[in-house]
Amino acid sequence: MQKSDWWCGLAIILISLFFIWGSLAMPWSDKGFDWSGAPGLTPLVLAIFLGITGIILMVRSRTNPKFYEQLEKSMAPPVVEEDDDSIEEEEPVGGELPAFLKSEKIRVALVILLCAIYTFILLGRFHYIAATAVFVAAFILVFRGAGWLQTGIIAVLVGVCVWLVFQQGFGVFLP
Amino acid sequence: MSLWTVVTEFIKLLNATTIFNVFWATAFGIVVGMLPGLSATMAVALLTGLTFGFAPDQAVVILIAAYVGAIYGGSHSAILLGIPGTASNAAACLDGNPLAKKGEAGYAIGLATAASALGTFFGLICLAIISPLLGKIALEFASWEFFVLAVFGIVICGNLTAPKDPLKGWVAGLLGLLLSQIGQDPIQAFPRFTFGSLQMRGGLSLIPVLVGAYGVGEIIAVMQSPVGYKVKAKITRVLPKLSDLFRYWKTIIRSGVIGVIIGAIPGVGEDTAAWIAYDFAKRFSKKPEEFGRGSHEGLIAAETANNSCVGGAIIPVLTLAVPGSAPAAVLLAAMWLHGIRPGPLLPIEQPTFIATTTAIFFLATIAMAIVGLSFVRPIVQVLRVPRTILMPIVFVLCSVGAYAINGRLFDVGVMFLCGLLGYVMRENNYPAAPLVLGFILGPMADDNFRRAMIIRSGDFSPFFTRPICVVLWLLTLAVILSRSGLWDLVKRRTAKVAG
Repeated sequence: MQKSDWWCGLAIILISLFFIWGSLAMPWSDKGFDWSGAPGLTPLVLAIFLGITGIILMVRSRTNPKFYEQLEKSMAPPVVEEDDDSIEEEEPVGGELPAFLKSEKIRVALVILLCAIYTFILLGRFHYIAATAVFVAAFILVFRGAGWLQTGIIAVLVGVCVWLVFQQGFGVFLP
Repeated sequence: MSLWTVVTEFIKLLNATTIFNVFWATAFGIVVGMLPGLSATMAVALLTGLTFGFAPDQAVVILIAAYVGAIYGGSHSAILLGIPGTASNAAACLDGNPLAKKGEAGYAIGLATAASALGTFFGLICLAIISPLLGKIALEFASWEFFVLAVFGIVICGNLTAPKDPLKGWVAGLLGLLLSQIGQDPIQAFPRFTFGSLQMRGGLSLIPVLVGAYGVGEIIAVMQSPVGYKVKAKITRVLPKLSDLFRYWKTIIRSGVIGVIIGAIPGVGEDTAAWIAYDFAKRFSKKPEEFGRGSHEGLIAAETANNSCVGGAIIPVLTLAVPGSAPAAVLLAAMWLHGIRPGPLLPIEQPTFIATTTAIFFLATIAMAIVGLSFVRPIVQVLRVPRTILMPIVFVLCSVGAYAINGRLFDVGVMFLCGLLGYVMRENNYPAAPLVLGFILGPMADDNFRRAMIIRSGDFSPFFTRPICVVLWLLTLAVILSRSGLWDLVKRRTAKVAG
């Protein structure tokens, strides 16, 4: 956490510098307003405060190890206990989970990738039902949520139902 | 506002369309709230986009019903899975899940339902009484007070949502404030941080930011673990014994009061209320040793507080246009979208609106109790659906919600990027609530700050001399000092001098 705080602090300072630069680049006086009504005034003040918090975070991560020791001690333990009889682990229905799907980082990367493909590539370029069905099917198959046939049925049903309910029922024009 | 006005408004709501909408929206809220990872904020945000084409009165009814349902619904998974459906039900896990393990899952759900209904009822009474009084004070607010109120909201929200490290809460709040500055500025119409993009000139809309930070961030987090859980417990008796409720009447009232107070503080949500009420219940209990091992009192305290917090969170929404919690923030945005302008002028522009809102809450509470107690078994079936099937469907619904507001694919992209931001923040222990509150309060803070500066030709002094500003600054300072270590230093010095 100490290390991540140092990097977060650095990122926060860079973000604040970007907003400071952007604010200063705006006009600070023109017809009808001086500095007190300038469009860059509020973002400048906010960015300065953000920069200060970033500096505090970076300095703290290097100078106050006791704070992090106390913080880690106070972290709550997980709520779910392993010997609990009232719940059970989900079994992968669509086959055994391959080793790479047991890595949390790879799982996160796959979720982000699938959602990004749906958001930036499929939506708007293909018919809504087709785009949605492809996304849902890919998601379920990648994470072994169901077999091929079941996945196909679920994917088409989701695409058709969402389209019918929102486009036809609620009058929302879908992409 | 008299009681008679509330009764009149309640009678007006008793028509087939409204009742139908209240029931399905409550059931929808319960289901979304119940699913681990999906929050009440997301339920309300999702419906805001989906009900965009509805008549304003029906849209508000649906959103309030979903809000009430979602806060309560999270208790189902807290009890059955030991995983809170929403953050506000985390405290309910401590006693709800041990009760399920003892074979009392149905009864625990029944108790949680009764406590939630009582909590919401308590919250709506406070909403009806306090809102008009606070509304009168709010009429004294000018640009200076609104700006200081925004600062106060961010500071206290950051402080309470990241109690172990408030600095991260404040960072999140400042980031939210800065994100809200993107787009055309409200006074000079100058495009800020838009890079010449026409889409960016319109600014970032609240719903995509909210759905992204809460919904998409949560979908990624839910899918992160290779191990998922599903319910095995059987549901037996559901109806709670009245004697159990009467026995803990003091706990119910105390938790209700805590919920309303915490709810009324800007940005501090139902989760904080539940934890504080749980802690108080344990301190005052005759059997504190049972807490954490299946105490009825603990479960009642947590569930009463989180639902009474809903009423509390609506109070500043209606009177000051400042949200008391994240779902209330979405509700506020939804009201704006439908042409309702909450704030000090609301009682003048729409004299019966507070009474109508109170009546809607009452109807939603009844629906919650009926749906909660009657349909436990079918609703719980949703928890048996694997997350690998559920999460892509949720993402699809999120994208529909984000798209529906303006019909722009740009908003779906914003939602996705805010989802990444929400996930990164979550992984590094930065709370999402101050980010969202900052995004909501940003335009208000900017507009009022610059307006105040223009009125007094750049003179800062009214920010520090007007009485309400002074009180708000002192409270803000007290919050910062109490968490910065300076307070401990002052106490040590005082003790040294005294000793």
